[in-house]
Order: sequence, then structure tokens, then C-alpha cells
Amino acid sequence: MIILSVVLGMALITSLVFSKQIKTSSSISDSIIAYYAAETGIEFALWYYKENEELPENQEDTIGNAKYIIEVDKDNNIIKSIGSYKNTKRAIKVNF
Amino acid sequence: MSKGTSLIELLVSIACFSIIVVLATGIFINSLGSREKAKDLSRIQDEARYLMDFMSREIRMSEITHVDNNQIGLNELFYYKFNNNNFLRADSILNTDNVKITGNFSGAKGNKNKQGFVEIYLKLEKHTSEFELRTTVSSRYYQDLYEE
Repeated sequence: MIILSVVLGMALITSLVFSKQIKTSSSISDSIIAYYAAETGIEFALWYYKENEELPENQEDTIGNAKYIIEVDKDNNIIKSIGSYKNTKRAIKVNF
Repeated sequence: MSKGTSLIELLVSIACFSIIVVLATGIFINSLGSREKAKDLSRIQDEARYLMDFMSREIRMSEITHVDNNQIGLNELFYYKFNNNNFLRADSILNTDNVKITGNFSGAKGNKNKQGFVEIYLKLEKHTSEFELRTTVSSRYYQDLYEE
């Protein structure tokens, strides 16, 4: 009975460790997607600035299933872009 | 009074032992599968990030001379292209072993007065794992700066 418990316990622990590993990988995926969405926001704001010689208004948009929100501080030339995907958010701030 | 172990008791204990061993083996095999999946996912995440960063840097530094669904041309010198589950830069395949890469481009090419930009969509697959990544990059190549 002791041997059986040990074998079953080991199997359960291994499966727990590996399932945690897959969960971590998935959350890293969400983080990468959110980060690149935030980068899209920054790229858009910089592109807009080059085209119109002024910063865009605060706005939000989507790229694929991810979303980005651009917050602009026109007085100090600061662009902040927050990318989000599922429950993960990543932000990038640019000052020039 | 104890008379030792009966045949029935022995059979029951063997049955219990077998069930638990089968159960444990099942869980273990399943875990190994999950581990492989996590490994593949982590591998394709790395690859996607590397490709995206590498390509973004090059797009930022170049003039975007061509954009269509499957390929972009930079500086009229070379291209990035999706072709038959492969991703190519000029004639070199950028995929690593067993990784399929599909995706598309959209955007606008640039010129002297207009800044080009590209939306890149990459989908990487390895065995049963897949990872999709999207971003937009604009070119910082302004011809007027070089002409002055």
C-alpha cells in the first residue's frame, strides 16, 4: 500500500509540475502578444506624428484579438500605449 | 484466527495494484505529453519574437518598396516572403527544424513624402503547439533627410 501511494503520488506531482509549465508558457504567450500590441500603438502614434506633425488623440484600437490604448500627453510629448490580450496588459511609454 | 492469505485476497490486491499502476502510468505519459507541448510552445515563442524583432529592425531602417499579402520588399534589394509553410528573407529560409511558419503582410509602401508601414501577422506551428503574433512597424527611412 505504501509503494502504491508513493507511485501514485509521484505521478501526480510530475503531472502537476508539467501542467504548471504549460500554464507558464501560455501566460508568456499572452504577455508577448500584449507587448507587440502595445508596440503597434506606439508605431501608430509615431507614424501619425510624422504624417500630421502633431500627436494623435487618445484612442483605442485592436490588432487581431489584442487591443491597444494610446494615451498622449501633448504638452510633454509623451506617448503611452497599453496593449492587452486576455487578462494580460503590457505598456510602453515613449518620450521625445 | 489467521490462516494466511487467501486466493481471493491475493487477486483483489493484484487487481488494486494493477489499477493504480495503470492510472499512474497514464498520468505520467500524459504529463510527458504536456511537457513536450510546453517545450514546443516555448521554442516557437522564442522564434516568433526573434523573427519579429529582427524583421522590425530591418523594416525601420529601410524603405518599404513593396507590400502584398505574401511578401514585402525593402530598399528594392531584398524581400521577406511567406512561401509554402516557410518564411524567407531573400533566398534564405528562416524556419528552424519542424517549425511551420505562415502569415501575411498588409500596409502601405513608403516614399519621399509618406512613411511606409507594415502590419505583420506570423503564425508558427510545431507539432500540436501553435503561436500567433501580430504587430505593426513603420519605416523611419526618410529620403528627404538623405537628400539634404
